[in-house]
Formats: sequence, C-alpha cells, structure tokens
Amino acid sequence: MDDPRSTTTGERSSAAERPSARPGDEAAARRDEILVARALEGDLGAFNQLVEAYQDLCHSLVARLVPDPDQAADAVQEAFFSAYRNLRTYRGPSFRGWLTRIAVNAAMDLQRARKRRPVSPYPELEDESWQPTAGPDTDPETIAGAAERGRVLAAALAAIAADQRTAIVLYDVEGYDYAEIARLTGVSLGTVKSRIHRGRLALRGLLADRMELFRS
Amino acid sequence: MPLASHTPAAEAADHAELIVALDAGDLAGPDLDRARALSASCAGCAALVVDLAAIRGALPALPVPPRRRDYRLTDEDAARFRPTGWRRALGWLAAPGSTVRPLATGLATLGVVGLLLTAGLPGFGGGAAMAPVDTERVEAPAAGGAAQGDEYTMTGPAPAPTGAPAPVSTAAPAPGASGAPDGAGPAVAAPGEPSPDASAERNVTAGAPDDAGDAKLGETAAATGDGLPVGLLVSLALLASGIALFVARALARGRLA
Repeated sequence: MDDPRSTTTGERSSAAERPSARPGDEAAARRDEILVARALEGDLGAFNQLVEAYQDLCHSLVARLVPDPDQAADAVQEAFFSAYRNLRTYRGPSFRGWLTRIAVNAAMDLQRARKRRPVSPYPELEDESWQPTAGPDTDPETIAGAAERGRVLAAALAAIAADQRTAIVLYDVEGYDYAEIARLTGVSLGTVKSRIHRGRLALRGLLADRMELFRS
Repeated sequence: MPLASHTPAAEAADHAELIVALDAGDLAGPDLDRARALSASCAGCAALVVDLAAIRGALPALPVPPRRRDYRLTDEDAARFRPTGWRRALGWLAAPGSTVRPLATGLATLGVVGLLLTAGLPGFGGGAAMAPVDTERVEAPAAGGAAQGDEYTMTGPAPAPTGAPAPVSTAAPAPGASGAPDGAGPAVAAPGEPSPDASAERNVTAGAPDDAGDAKLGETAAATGDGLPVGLLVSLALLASGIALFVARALARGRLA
C-alpha cells in the first residue's frame, strides 16, 4: 500500500488501469477481451467466466461500501446484470475498470435509495467463526487483536456518511487515486479530497476511545 | 479570514482540516508551512497526526465479509436481460463500434452539400437554379414561329396570351438545368390556357421527342407540386436523417448508461 502522505494525484497508480500494469494483468486483460467478444456473440458461458473472475473483487469492494451484507450482495448482483445488459456499450480498454465503475455506481445508487433505512453494519464480523486471514506464525493474541481492530474500524466506517465512506474505501482500501475516484463517483477532484479528509476526521472522532487498538 | 474562524471551535476545526490535509499530502506553499508549524507546536495537532496515520495504516486491512452468493447468470437471467426489440435497437444505436455514427455523419454531410448545391451558394450553381423567372425573356419568343417556339420551350416559360408572365408552377429547376443561360426558369404551360404557338404547346404538353422536350420533362419531373425541387427536399431529408441518428444515438447512450 502506498503511503498517501508521500503521494500525489499523478503519482498514485490508477486501479482501473491495473490490468495493463503487470504482465499477468495484461494476460487477464487479453482474456477478458476474448470473453467479452464471445459473450457479445451470445455465449453466456463466456460472460459467466468473467463473473467468476471478478465476483470476489466486486464483492469485496461493494461489501466495504455498503454495510448491510444483503444489500451489498444485491448491489453486486445488479452490477453483473447491468454489465450483461450493457455489454455492447463496453469500449475498453479494461473490462475490470469498466466493471468496477458499474459496481461502484450500483453501490452508490443503492445507498442513495436506502439512505435513511437503518442497517446492522457488517453482522458477519460479529460471527466468531469467521476470522481475518492470518499467517501461520501469527499468535492467537495478534489474531484476536486484528479481529477486534477490524470490527471497530468497520463499525466506525459504517457510521460515517456514505459519500465519505465511498471515497475512503476507494482511496485507502482499494488504492484508487483521486482522479479515478472523481471519475467513478462523478464529482470533482476537490470534492474527493474533501470527502476523504472529512471522512478521516469523522473516523478519528468515532474511534477516539479505541485508538489504543491502532497505535500498536 | 471570516469572523467565525476566530472562535475557538472554528479555529480548532480549521487546524484539524489543515492537519488532515497535511497527513494526506495535499498541502503546498504557505498552508504546508503553517500545518507543519501547527503539528510541531500544538499537542492536539500532533496527536491528530499520529491518530490519522494509525487509521490510514489500519484501513487496508479492513476485513471483508465472506461472499455467500454466486453471481453467475442463469439461462433465465440471460433470457430476461438479452436485448430484444427496442432494447436491441438501443444497443445498436449506443454501441461504440456501431455504424451509426459514420452513417449519421455521412447523411448529414450529404444533406449539407446538397443544400449548398441546390439552394445555397451561387458559386455552386444553386443561385442560378433558384433565380426568379425572367419575364422579359418570356415575351420575346411569343411572336416567333415554330422554330422560335422550340427554342422558347427550352429556355423560357410559356407566355400568357395577354403578354403577362405565365404562372410558373416550379420555383427552380432540377440541378441539371442550373447551367441554363440567363438563369431562365422552367416553362410550364398553364392548364387550360391557350398557347400562342402551336408547336410550343405541343412540345410542352405532348412531350415532343426532341432534346428540348426531354429537358423540359426532366425539369418538370424534378419538381414537386409545391414548387420545391426534389434535390432540396432530398438534401433536407438527408440532413434531418443524419441529425436524427445523432440525437437517437445520444439518447440511447444516455438511457443505457
């Protein structure tokens, strides 16, 4: 993860352009183009191969943007439906970037539509059977600390404004740069920065009593 | 500075905004110097810097709830979302690689060029084509014989028995007549009106098999009953079609976006 303190808009890599950033990603991009072409000819299997390739990515992105898991799943499903419906409008160069935009839009639309509806944020995180991934040499105390930190952070993230959460998740978690977030969310660069700044201040305010979890 | 910023709360908020912008690396110039000075001199600001860095560091490790749904489309989904009817048309209009855009551009260009040729620029011959009927020339051959009548048929409108200009049912001839001398318009005998020259009347109404008659018939066929030349109408239609395709494509793209 880049340190945002040392980065600027132009320096940070664009997540939407990642497929062409590394050799493996270039191969994935070529595969995507072939699958898109086959899907456009009516091959549902080809489109479902694209779904298989990107459903984890879309799920992890949207699940962080939409606190309610059922709503998040609906948004991801709607994103794939929308991608299938509008596949003819895809113009490249990155199917991944195009699909990500659709997923972010689906998440934002859903949050706008259900803005005032109270939700239970990330109930899966309360499930003790699921724990964050840890290395083999990680001791139980570290695992427990990471789980607690994740729970607290997720709860705080769910409590801030949706537009601030979207900007923070896209920048701090997903690694998009300011310009890409501006394109994804349809706002100006200054608005993106402002949302990130205010969102971080809001997070700090919500986590003020639990900051010891993060200072280790 | 607004007055509100002098209150302690506003000042603290201002400081916090400076510090968070400093933490994000979004400051430059005097603001950067001011934020650095604040973080060095103000304990609360220094603590904020540390906390923001800790939160930033923790965010990438934010856990993700496990995926519990397979998002692959079923055959029923595909059938439901497969474009049919008007959605297929929308898809064709909005598709980035479709032929709509070049087609619309071509139609609009043809329409504009056609308009220029038929009705617009004199340099293109359109000015001659649209020139008003020369009534003086109409009267000149009226006293002539059969040979003059033939010539008159080619170049001028049929005269009325009284010498007044004959009613002209066409405003302009077809583009092929644009080179006519003196910009003369087409000659069409008014129905029911006697022609002073029998041969002229024969050429106009019965369609004599000579060149003059052919040209006349061509001019007559190239005009509409309203007096608008077909070329002009076709050009307008092409231009309208091109613009309509552009608009339809924009609407389709907006709808599918």
